[in-house]
Amino acid sequence: MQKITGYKRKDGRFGIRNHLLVLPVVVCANTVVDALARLYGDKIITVTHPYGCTFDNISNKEFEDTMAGFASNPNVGAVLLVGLGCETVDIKRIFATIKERNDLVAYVSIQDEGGTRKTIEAAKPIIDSFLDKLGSRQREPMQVSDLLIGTECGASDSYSGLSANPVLGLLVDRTVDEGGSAFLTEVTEFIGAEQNLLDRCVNQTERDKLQAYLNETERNLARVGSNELRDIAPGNIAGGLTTLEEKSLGCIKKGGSRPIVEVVGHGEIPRKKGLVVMDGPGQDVESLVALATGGAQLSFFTTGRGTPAGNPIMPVVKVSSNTTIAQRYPDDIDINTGTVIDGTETLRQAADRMYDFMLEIVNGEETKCEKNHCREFAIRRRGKDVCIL
Amino acid sequence: MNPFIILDKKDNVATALMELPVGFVMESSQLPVKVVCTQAIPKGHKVALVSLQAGDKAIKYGTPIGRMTRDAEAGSLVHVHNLTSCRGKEKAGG
Repeated sequence: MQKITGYKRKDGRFGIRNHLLVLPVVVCANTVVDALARLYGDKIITVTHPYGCTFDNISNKEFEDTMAGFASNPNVGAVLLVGLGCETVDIKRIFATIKERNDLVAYVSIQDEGGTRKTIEAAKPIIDSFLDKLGSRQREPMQVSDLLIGTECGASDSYSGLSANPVLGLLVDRTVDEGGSAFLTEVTEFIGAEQNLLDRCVNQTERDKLQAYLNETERNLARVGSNELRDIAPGNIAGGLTTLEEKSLGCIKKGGSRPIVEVVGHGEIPRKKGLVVMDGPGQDVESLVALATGGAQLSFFTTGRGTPAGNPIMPVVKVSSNTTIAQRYPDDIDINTGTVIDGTETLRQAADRMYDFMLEIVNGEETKCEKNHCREFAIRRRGKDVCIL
Repeated sequence: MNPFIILDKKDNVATALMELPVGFVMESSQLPVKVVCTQAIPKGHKVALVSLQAGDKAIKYGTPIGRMTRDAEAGSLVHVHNLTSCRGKEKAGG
């Protein structure tokens, strides 16, 4: 079997990439981060976003937790946080949380430095020093049991539940059987298929946690309004899917068949090895960010209609449910499982091909998302008056 | 390649894996009688395997996927015009 390697981190986790991430903690710092992106090009990964300042305590905490967790994903070798100075999120708390897992973290604030240009100048020596240190890090042997893989489906069609998701489910089963871990999330897309998942929880504590997340999600669904088609997107319907239940039954196939050892909150790092359910949104980009925040080193993203969405720090493997899409989007799709529908490959054969590809990605081969610089970033909004599914 | 798939023996709808034209005869060891398509079924869409009445549950993956809002004869399309979700509604206000 192919040997795999990664970057061993302070907390024992392995990264499969060694990124330098420059992350604004508030929207007001985006311009500084963009300027650094232009200066350093492909040497650094940057993110911009509209978050970081709100009077809503629930949102503030979720933003802080997500930024800290995201920036301490094991694929990140070093982090520079950029703040303004008066934002409601606490940059020092985010910094301290990252510092527990990674020594290569620093922050600069625009109001401390005295403006845009001075902050850019202050960031440069920090970035240069981090790049120097990252350059000397070597890959070390790791095992499949060190992997935590994310699963995601988006722009689904009715084939997603017949080919791409069951194939991914077999990959998840194999990864778990070899001692590794996998996330199943997108709780909105459990609705109608939840009994299967509840039955697979290893104990009542985890089952109760899952039931609580399901109840909250269904309450939020009901609050959104009375349009019965609100739960699935127009593209899903055009693809032949009719109801949320139908979509959900196809969606959960990507979680395979193994017991659910733990149920965690949004962006939470699991304590146990095996199949883990995360409370996360159905929206693809938010979901991928939640998976990266929970520590997934790579994710598999199944699609029936084609979507370029990726992630800034976590390789995303794009899996098509049908051959037509694979042929139409050759620069976006990594793995085609339409072969199962075409009758040229079994589910198992496609899953074995996906497994071999996964090991190559772990070892540094770039996914199509990475080649295309697909680096979307969004955080689930969950506040006092907000419910976004 | 199979023209359609029935995912569970309890299912009362099948999924077309290619476009099924009007008059297409669906035959399968999972079907007690042949079903003739009464309308074109687009690729990826669902076709009723028995006559469904308004109020009936549509079954796919061996599990209810929603409630029929109109009757659908065997061999006809089952989609948003005659099938609706049962979820995310009952608990409104809760």
